[in-house]
Parts: sequence; C-alpha cells; structure tokens
Amino acid sequence: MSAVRLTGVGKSFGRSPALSDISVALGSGVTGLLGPNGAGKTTLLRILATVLAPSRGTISVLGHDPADPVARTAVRRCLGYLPQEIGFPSGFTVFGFVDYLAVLKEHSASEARHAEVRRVLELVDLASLSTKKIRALSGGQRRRLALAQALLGAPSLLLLDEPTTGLDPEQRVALRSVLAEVARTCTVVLSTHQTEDVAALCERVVILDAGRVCFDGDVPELVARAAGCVWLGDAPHPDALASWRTGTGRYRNLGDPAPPDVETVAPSLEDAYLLLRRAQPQAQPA
Amino acid sequence: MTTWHLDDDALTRWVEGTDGAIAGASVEQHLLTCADCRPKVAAPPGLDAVWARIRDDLELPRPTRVERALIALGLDASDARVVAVSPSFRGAWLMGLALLLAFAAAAGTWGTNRGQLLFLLIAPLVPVAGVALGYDPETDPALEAECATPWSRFRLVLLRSLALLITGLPVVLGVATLVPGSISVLWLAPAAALTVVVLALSTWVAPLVASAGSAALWVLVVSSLGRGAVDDDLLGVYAGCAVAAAVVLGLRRSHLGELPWDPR
Amino acid sequence: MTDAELLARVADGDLGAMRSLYDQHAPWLAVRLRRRCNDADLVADALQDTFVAAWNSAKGFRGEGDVAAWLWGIAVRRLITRLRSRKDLAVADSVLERTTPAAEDLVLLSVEYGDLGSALRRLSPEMRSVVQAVVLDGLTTRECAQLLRVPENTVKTRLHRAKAHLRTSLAEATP
Repeated sequence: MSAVRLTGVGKSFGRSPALSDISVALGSGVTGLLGPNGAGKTTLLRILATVLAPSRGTISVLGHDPADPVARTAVRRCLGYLPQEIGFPSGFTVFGFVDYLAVLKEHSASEARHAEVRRVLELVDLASLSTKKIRALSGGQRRRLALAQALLGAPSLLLLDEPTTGLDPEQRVALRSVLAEVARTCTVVLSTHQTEDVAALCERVVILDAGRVCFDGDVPELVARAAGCVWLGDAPHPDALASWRTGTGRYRNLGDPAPPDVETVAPSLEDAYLLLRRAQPQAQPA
Repeated sequence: MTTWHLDDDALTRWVEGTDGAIAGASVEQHLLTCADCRPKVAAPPGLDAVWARIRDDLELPRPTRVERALIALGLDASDARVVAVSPSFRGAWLMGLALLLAFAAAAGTWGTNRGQLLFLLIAPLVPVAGVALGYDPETDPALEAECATPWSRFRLVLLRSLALLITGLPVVLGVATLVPGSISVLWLAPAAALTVVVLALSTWVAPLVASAGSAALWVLVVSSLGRGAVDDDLLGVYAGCAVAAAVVLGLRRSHLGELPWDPR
Repeated sequence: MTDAELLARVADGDLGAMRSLYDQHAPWLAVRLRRRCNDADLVADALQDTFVAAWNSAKGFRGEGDVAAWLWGIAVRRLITRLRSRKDLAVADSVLERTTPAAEDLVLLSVEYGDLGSALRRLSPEMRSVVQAVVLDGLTTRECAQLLRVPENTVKTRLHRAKAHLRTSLAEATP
C-alpha cells in the first residue's frame, strides 16, 4: 500500500501548465524529487502538502483524498511540510515559533507540547538557541528551524522542499543522519536540484522536467542507465554529449554510448542525470 | 591560592551540615575558587526539577496582552496563541488603527458635514482591513507552513476576526460617541455587511484583494450618496448583504484561509 | 571550557552553556544556601531566581573575580529577598553553630585561614554570624541586618567588636 499515489495529476496556473500527467506511487523511505528550476517540484510538493489543489487527476495521500475537506484535515495530521521559502512572524523566538506551529498541529496539552518542541529542536541541533530571536539567526539556522517544525509529531509523510539550501557540508551530513533516522518509519519526499543530495539521501528518485516525469525508479536503476557511457580523457572528446574538467585535470566525458576505443569508468548519479537531460531534445539545461 | 584540595570527608560533612561553622566557611571559600573540587559536591535532590523551572522561565513565550485578554474571555490557552499571533494584533497595526480613528474622530467632531462623511467613510473600513490582515500571505509570512497544519483554517480566520472586533470595537465605539448625530451608530450596519462580504469573497480571492475591492465599493457608495449611504432603506440592503454573504461563507467555508491562488 | 567562557556564551543567549553552568554550580550553591536556610522549597526558589538573574545579567559580568563568587553574590541576595517575604522564617544564630570541629577541620582551617580560623572560633556566636555574613558571604551591613533580623546598628556594633577581637587574637598569635 503506497503512502502516496498520484494518477494523471496536472496543475495549471492560468494557461501555463506547471505539471502534466504525473502518475507516481511512493512508499516508505526517502524519495528524491530532482529537476532544474521551474520543473514543477515545488508545485508537486505543494499539492502533496494539501496546500495547493490540483487542476486534474486523482491523489491518494496516506489513504485519503485531499479534495474532501475532512480527509484533508486527516492528511494534515500526519504531515510535515518544509516549504521552499518560509517566513517567520516578527518578534518570535526559536522556541516560540516551533511552539506556535505545534499548537496548529493540535498539540494542545502544554507540557507534552513543550517536550515535543524540545525534541525536534534537539534533532536539528538548535536546542541551545531556543531563546534566540529568529531575526538573529543565520540563513542555515533558519532553515534548520523550518525543518524542525516539519518534524513535529513524527509525521508519516515528510515533504521537504530544498532542505539542504544554505547548509554547509557539516550540516548536510547532520541532516542526512536525521533523515535516515526518520525515514525508517515514514515516507520522505525531498526536492533538490543537486544530485549529491539524492546520491547521499535517497533510495528512489523521480526526475521532473517541464512538469513531466522523465524518470521514476530506484537510484541504482538510474545510475545503471549511464553504465558504459562515461569515460575520462585528457581533453573534451568531440563525440561526447557533455564533458567537463574534473579536479584532477582530466576531462570527464558523457556519451550514449561511449566511443569504442575509450576506457569507461563507473558512472555516478550526476552522470546519469546529465545523460538523461542531454538526451531529451526538448529539455533545456538550466 | 592554596594547592591543596578538599578531601571527601570534609566535603561530606559540609554537605550533611555536620561540620562546624568555621570549617564550613573554609570549605565554602575554597569552593569559590577551585573548579576541581566543585564537581565533587554531591548534588542534592531536586536540582533537575529546578532546572526545568529555570528552562521554562527562559524559553517559554510569554502570553501577550491580547492573549491574556482572550483567555480571560474564556478562550482556551492554545487557541488564544494561534489567534493572537495574527499580524492584526501587532503593535504597528494597532497604532495605525489608533491614528486612523483619531483622525476620523477629529474629522467627525468638527461637526461639519464633510467631517461626518469622512468618519462614515473610514470607520466601516477599519474592521475590513483588520480582518484581511489576519491571514493574508503578504502579512502572514508563515502562511504556507500554517496551511499544511490540521488546525481548522476557517475557525482560525473567524476567531481572529472575532478577536479583532472584540479588541477594536470598544475603541471604535468610543470614538463614535464623539461624532454627533445618528452616524455614530448607523455606520455599524455597513461595517458589519462589509466585514462578512470580505470574508465571503476571501473564499475565492486573496483577503487583501477582497478587502481592497470592498473598500473601493464602499468609497464609491459614500462619494455618490453622501449621507444617504446610511438611509433607512439602504440599511435593509446592508442587512440583506450581510445575510447573503454569511450563507455563502457557510457554504464555502472549507475554502477560507486556504491558498487557492498562485503565491508567485 | 572555563566559567568565564561559559558565561560569555550565556550572555550570547546559549541555553546549552547555561545548562553547563547550572550543572557545575547548582550543587554547591544549593548546599551553601541550604546551610543558611532550612526550608528546602525556599532554597529551590532562590536557586531558580539566581540562575534566571544570572542569565539576564550575564552581559554585565566584567570578569572581575570568579564566576563562582559572582553567582554566590546573586544567590545570597535572592535568598534574602525570598526570606523577607516569609515572616515566619528566620536565620537563627543557632543554625550557624554546629558540633565542635574535628581535628582535621582545624588543620584545614589553619591552612585556609591561618590563625584567623582559631581567632574566629573564639568569637561569640552572634559576632561570628555577623562576620560570616559580611566578611565571608559578602553581604552589606544592611543586608546582613535583614538576614539576621536585627537592626543595622547592631550589625555594625557586632562587626566592630568582632574585628577588634580578631585583631587582638592575631596580634597575640604573631610571634
């Protein structure tokens, strides 16, 4: 039984379609939503978060159809959502903001609620700063604060829109361990335009481009597509679809397939992603 | 600065209080300067409980005046929190409201026809603006995160509007008494109608858009009808509008407070 | 991390540093307060007040002296404030008097205070409690008067007499 199932979902703003014919099924574990800016990742997450209604198609989130208001509330009880851009009401402290969101998530008993607030602040390593005013926080700290509110109540579905933005490498590693812990019992969908995040965090990946799904499967499956298509050379190869200079000074080349007389190397997720994007004639690299 | 440290016996006797006052004083003076001996002191029971109280003191947000007022009126503490957080209760808004009303009152008390009309124009728009500010994305920065929570959006908007009326209405009524004539009371009818209409329209469009539209409509009415805007027959129209809008609001309540529009 | 560094972090709003400071200082502060006031709840309240006050005034700590001494200064004053609101409690002279000190204590004493220790022992309890409050706990004569529930002039007189006694004792002791 999939936690999330979309069938033929589409969303248009005015005449421009942001999403077209999305049909995916997601279960427990971490799924990455990969794609360039404007691909529709945020729109899709908003629809899953019941913040936006789709124009077409059917959705099932945790067994409910969010079109029905009662079911929508039931979904929201099991939901944690980190928007791409979150603003903070002025004058709030770190603790105060998470506490406020906790009330909105129906944690009405104050003692239990305060304990829960402290728990999620501990998870994102903001417990020491709980009395600080939000305006005194750095960008990365604000992002962690926004993540903390999404983790309230141990949701069954966690939707994270670009959670790694503004985090330094150390914090990304910390985020990975938090998500790894959380993902054992719930469904996590995170959107990003960085393949390293997907490689490090996700078991499954859905690639969006211009509002359509161009890949939906396991990460190893995606990587395998680029097998035999990546090779190193001392210069950009004329037959390559893409090539770039690596840190060692050599050039990494991508081609489908690789020319016969080169020595191929094991592909990375980034290689597979680029290959997919370059291979699409209508896809415009960001 | 001595180089000796307290032995366990001395410390134990000090903790238990079985040593002499002077020996105790000696221990105490030593502890003031020696960080190595301080961890040796056995913590008396209850220190964790005291820490919990300290932490609560430092961390927990203090209820604002509006929150306390709402709780006094019988609202649940957590409900009062979500209601009072609204931008409508921010200092800036309240101050703007006070200034606006002062202006309107001054205009009204000057007694001239113009002054009274000015009051009639402004006073009904005050609750309209306040209601809109309660939950518009322009004024509520965390709206997207809030929309994904199970707390009833409809209940939130209604409670915030109600709370705004409760806090703002005494002020407005006080100001109204300064205005001579029946205008000081009659403005309530269009005010009520406009407020309900804005709420009903907000189930379709953004609250600020709904408020702006309604405000524009009211300005049109007052500028064309003048004092006739509160004639007896029109009062009936306002009542009818209010009822109709309330019905629409009831039918479309699941759309209130949601994000039907494209935020970008 | 030193206390001064911890306090600097506390001044910056670091609750984790506050917890560390509490873990290190609350035990001895609690015992020291308890030795002056029998009411455990009052001591707990005073301890709470102390650390909340420390949080609020951490920025004002200019590094003069030890953090421990600074904390004690806050703590003892908070205790007095709490005591003042409870008319039924008093810090009796007898509370400050315990069993006769053991031989080891005398050794400690002489190392810590030298001859002052034995000189203090020879004072009467009333004078000793005043010396303890003003000299050892760092209270003003006014605060000491509030603590011991005696007029301020009495405190000053006792202190004057105590110092005279001590001077005499020390003069005798010095070879």
